[in-house]
Amino acid sequence: MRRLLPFSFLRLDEETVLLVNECGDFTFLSPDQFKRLTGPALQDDDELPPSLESRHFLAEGDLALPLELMATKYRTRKGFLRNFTALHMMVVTVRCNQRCKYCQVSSEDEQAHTFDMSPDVAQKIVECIFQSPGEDIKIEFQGGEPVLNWKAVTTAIEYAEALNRQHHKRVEFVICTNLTIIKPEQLEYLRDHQVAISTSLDGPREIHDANRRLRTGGGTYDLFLEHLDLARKICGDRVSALMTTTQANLHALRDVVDEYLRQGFPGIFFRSLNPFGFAATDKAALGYPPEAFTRAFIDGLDYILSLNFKGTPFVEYFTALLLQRILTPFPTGFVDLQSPAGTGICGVIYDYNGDVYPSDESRMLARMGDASFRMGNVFTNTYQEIFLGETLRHLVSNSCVETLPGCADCAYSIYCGADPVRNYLEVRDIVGHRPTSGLCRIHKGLFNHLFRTIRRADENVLDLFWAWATGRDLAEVQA
Amino acid sequence: MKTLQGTPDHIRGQRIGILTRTPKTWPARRHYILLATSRTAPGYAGAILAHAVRRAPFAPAAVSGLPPAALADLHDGDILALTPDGTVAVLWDGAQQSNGILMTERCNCRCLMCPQPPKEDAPGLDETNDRLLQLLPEIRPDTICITGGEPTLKRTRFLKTLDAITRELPQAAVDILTNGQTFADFEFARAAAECAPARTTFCISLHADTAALHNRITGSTDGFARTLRGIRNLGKLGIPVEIRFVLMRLNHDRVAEFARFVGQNFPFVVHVALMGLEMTGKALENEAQVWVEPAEYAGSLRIAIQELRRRNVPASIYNVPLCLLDRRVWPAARQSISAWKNGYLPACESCQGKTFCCGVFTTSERFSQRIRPVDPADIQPLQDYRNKYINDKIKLCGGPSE
Repeated sequence: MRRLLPFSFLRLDEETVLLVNECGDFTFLSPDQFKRLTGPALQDDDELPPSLESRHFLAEGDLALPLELMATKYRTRKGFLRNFTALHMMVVTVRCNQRCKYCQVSSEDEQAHTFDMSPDVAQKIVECIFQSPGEDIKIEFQGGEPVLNWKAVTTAIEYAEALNRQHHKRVEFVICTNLTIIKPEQLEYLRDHQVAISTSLDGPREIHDANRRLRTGGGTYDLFLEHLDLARKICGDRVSALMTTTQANLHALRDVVDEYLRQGFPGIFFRSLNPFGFAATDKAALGYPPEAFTRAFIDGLDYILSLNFKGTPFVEYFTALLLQRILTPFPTGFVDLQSPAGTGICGVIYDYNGDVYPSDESRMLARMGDASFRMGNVFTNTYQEIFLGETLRHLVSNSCVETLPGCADCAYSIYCGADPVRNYLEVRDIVGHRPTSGLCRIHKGLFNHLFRTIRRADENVLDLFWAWATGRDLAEVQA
Repeated sequence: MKTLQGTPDHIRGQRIGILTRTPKTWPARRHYILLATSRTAPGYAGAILAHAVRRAPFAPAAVSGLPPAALADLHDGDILALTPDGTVAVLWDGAQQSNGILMTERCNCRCLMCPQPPKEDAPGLDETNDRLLQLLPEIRPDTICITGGEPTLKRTRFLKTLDAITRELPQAAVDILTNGQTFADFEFARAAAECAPARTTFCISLHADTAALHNRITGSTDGFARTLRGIRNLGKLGIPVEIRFVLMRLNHDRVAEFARFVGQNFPFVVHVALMGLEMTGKALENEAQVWVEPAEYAGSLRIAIQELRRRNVPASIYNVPLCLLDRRVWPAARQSISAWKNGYLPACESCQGKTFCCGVFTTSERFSQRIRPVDPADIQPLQDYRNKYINDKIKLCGGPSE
């Protein structure tokens, strides 16, 4: 007997229905084929594409084998869970020499020093980190500007190295720095301890300086480039850059890409702005509707594709991530878009006093008086109380797309994820409201675009998509 | 298997030994067959005489009367079997890479395109294989094929063979040619994984991405499910798996979708071989369902290779001449046909691509009508590719142990 296997669907355009099954295989059908697949004459239809069976949309008699194959792929996608919390972020200070217009963290009032993480707290946090069961640990220093509390950074790094002589985990360090106040000795230290540097570049001078300003006034572009050069001389190619999309660069993403190429970066991540928590005026000045972001993203992506086909390799990292999810069954480690959500179980953040939060947004929420998501404190709670406590359980168990309204029947859900803290910020409910969720609209827009592109099946574009999805050069895929 | 016909001299039963032109000392002689021009000496497993000599006392069993050209074709280190009727069979050809131990001629499938249809084992097959295992450590081959029929039908013997190879020839690269159905039994798969030497690849035949088509091609009722479970079990045990797909009329239009299916569900396989037909045996009998002009599938074959390449799965094309392939997949085409049955057609006379091309099976009885010399201008990129990867065996030969 022929049976349907579970799938979601979406009318991509007038001639195409996209089907996606529970483990992420997809296929395209014509409206007529779709009607026959879901119609009463299914058993006798001899003209359905045989790939419906091999792509696990239909089971012909034997149900056990396709379910085994699907289960393997589903388990594989969720492989990111096996390592439990891998990313551990430490907010070592809220002080910063810059005052970027979209920053919600930095502060320099008289109380600011009290939010510096002491070396004792840093050590205690590292002890907690090493109780993570996973083999892979990434410790990321954030701020404000973390180099301003250099003692906390070096204490954490050296203590982690000492502890790891017993644990033998694979430990990586990252520092998120604006690079404009870093000293050569500090860069040498980072080199000697193999700390990766993640910095910010929003675009060419006019764009970068529009939002990224010194606290004392003035832009930071030239200062940044000077220090970038120094950082590369000392630390080699361990420097990567992120950009933040605001009104200043939303309609100039091509220029931002050109700037990244000029500065020798191999790729870019078009990051959208989270305007929540801004005053209304700031939001108006910086923010933009979700659809505007999606349109700009697609335009920027088109530009990047054309660069690749002209012989300039350059990657858009978020697209590469989505393509890895769409085209392959392999797990991806992007904390912000997982199901169950990565908050806490993939990435966690430690505040200056040892408080532990599942995400930065929840930490800032606590600063504003709402500590709903505080998981515990490294001094007063055990690892089990923090990571296996009710707060995190409640958050995670309400973040599986298969059970969320709006996500449960979305064709893209297997490739997507949930952000319960963002949902809470927007509608005071961790389950969230999909129709008004800006992120949902952005992601749907991007998925629609990617699937329409895949449907058009231009061979060169698909080769490039596969190159990105598998972390290889286009030349290697086409050789 | 290469065979020569000569005149027997006192051969009782099968005499199997390693060919040598240099005399051996006691007691090594018992494993050797001496190729002698004048006299032989006692103690050898057998002898091949350039011409009949007066039989000495205790002389070994011998075959004589073989023409010099045939003798020149036998190399020191070949393993030969002398039979009472004067046949010399080359059980192991030292000059070749693809020598195999034929475990059994029986099979649990009835594939439409089988070039060597299943039958009952010749008497003494097990003893011959035992003797072969005894002799292989002397010649230390780099590669060993385990083949059949379906080699895993004799489960205990199969495991013992793997075990013997692991003990005596642990460095050998072993290719097991199987339909994988017996490995649906996880305990058997585990036992095989434990016995097999480190460089073993299980080469599993799979001819479709859907059950009905695969079962029709292989003449089995549940072969597809059992083979896939076998692949999965070997995957769970971390054992290198290769997939082999034979292109024929019934499945050639699905080869691209097949490649996608393998890449999506078995991304751990170490190699995929897409193979042209050997038109003999059952393939000839079932010509109507089997025969397809290879030029017809050049397009879908190119897409199949591209699908595998995109998914980072190493892939090769076996047994399809270069002139019938899209040029873009020439780097994937291998010298895949065993030397003893490898040849070229009259149409290939002036072709400059012969050194790179697998040619055709001399055992086939039907060939493509479109075989013709390739454009000489296209040869240079192929030469460049070979030069570039001259040290990278995977890229040149395809698969880990060919």
